[in-house]
Amino acid sequence: MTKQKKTKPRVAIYKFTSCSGCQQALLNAEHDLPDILGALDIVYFKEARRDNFGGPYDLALVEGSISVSEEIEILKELRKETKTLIAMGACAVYGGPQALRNWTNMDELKKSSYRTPEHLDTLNWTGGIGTYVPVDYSIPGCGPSTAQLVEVIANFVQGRLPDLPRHSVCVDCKLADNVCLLVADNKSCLGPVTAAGCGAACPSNNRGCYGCFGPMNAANGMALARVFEKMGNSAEDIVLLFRNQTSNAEAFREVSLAYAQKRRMAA
Amino acid sequence: MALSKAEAELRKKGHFFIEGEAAEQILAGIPDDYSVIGPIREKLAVKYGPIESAADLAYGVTSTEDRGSYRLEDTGKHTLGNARPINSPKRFTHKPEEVLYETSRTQQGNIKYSTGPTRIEKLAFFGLKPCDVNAMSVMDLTFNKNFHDPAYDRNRRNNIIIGLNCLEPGQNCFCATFDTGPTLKDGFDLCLTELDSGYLVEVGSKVGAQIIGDADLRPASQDMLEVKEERAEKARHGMSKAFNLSKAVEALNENYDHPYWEQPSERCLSCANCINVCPTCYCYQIRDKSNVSGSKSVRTRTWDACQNLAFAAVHGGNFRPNRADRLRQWVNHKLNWTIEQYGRAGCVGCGRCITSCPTRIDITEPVWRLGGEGVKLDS
Repeated sequence: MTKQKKTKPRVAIYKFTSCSGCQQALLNAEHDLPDILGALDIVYFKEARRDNFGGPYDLALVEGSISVSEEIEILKELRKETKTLIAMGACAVYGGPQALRNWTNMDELKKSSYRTPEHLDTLNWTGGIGTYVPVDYSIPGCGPSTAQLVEVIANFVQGRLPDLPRHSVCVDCKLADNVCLLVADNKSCLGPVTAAGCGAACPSNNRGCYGCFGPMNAANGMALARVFEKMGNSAEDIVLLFRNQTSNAEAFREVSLAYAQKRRMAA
Repeated sequence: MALSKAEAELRKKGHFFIEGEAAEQILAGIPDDYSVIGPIREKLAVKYGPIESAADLAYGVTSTEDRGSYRLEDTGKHTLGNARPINSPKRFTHKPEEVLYETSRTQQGNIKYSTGPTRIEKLAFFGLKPCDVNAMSVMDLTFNKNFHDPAYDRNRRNNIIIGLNCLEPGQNCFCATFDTGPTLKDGFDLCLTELDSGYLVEVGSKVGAQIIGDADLRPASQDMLEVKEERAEKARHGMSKAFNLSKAVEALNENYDHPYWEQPSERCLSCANCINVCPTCYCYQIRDKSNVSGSKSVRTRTWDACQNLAFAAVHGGNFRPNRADRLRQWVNHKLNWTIEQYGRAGCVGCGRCITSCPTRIDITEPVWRLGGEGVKLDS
């Protein structure tokens, strides 16, 4: 077979409001980086390149939430010049911890930190990039799993749809033979409503799941919240449990809003 | 010492007695090239896991189960049979993840297939609960009866089974329903019963006889067997969740579309804990995973579960998009449909699914709710 010279896909690794941890997770794919660089022409990657080039792009992996108004326009431009746009990580998919502002009074928050808050150009409501543009695929997690990033890239390179699991973290816990923290230790754990992919990282280290991969595909958050209640958690505890990196995901939002209501009624 | 006629008869039947500690003697008799699995103690639970010596076994603890709850306590007694392992031993024969084969692309562009793992495991199970021994027979019906699944067979072929009868069933146990406990009738090489002063040992195979070195052993007495039977009978009747299986099947069939199913499903999390702790649930999915360049790919099979939304998904999704559909499917498959398929239930009554359900769903509840008093064990 003669090797055909193919142009490599032009790729951008992009970032909005975020901690750069997702890009780091990609750079951590040390074993696969030679293959990735062999298959892709990564022309925009500020975390890893000195010089960066504009579109059009065949693929963009986008980290970060949309938290200031100028990001909306930049994102829309990026969408226009990108064939396949992938949200990478909890911020780009759900808004990340920046979305915690959605549950508070932003004006008061600004005043508490800045002497001249009127100079801030900050959105009062933060969401993932899917709030403003169509997204072709989402890789959840804070940070995302390096293995999943490589899996999605491998599938992109070979023209297949990625197939990341969206079942519960519990499945991964059972595969790893972990003893259930909910059942055997009365610990509040979001594992039964959270999408797998982390390899049950926190429960494997004796901590309840924080839900950073966002809701699983059949999440029943209210049922789990009622379990938390029976375990002795207050409404306030439950609000906080469901408000971490993925508080803006619908299946988690409905729980925290319901329990915030309960908390108000109790107060 | 001359044996009485009754004692000679018990010796012939393979019923022996080991005074005091038995594990050390038995483990010493297991061939050196075997890996031994037994109940081990972790901080929060007893689990089946690899052991090196009798010192690794989970002595002196008891587990208390409730719906969605498992607690471990010290008993101060040097006994083994009072704690129920929270995991199931299926992970050693039907592994959570198993590589089936690997493919690679040669420089000429041809695809090369590897044969996959070929190692034949030698596994000895010590202190396996009767429900778990029976669960292995149930699993065999799928993987090792009409055809031999190579991956399963590799792990299962050389098993040595040393059972430990249950004289104190847990709160979620209902093996009496299926006659898969509390004591073993067959399917073992050796079967132990913990008595006050030592272990009653029943030999179930030549391998078992070799392990224990039966020639030098004292035969059991008729009294010991009676004590065992008496305690087993008490255990059998102590299982409040046990029910009459054929009546339960009728109730499940008659009420297939009963609105009751919505009730437990409303709180079902689809987390699949029930499936993954079940010693007889065998479903798996197969995934191909290639590297970025496409030069190598691995085909792996991993446990799958009918409660997962992506389970058996075809174009358009899962045939059972609702939690109620999936839960009803599972309960019926365990308690009902397998009987038609294999001649015995897919459930062995170990109760792990009840213990491990965060929202306290109980697989026996549909039976009681749909069948009422009529499904009582001795009805």
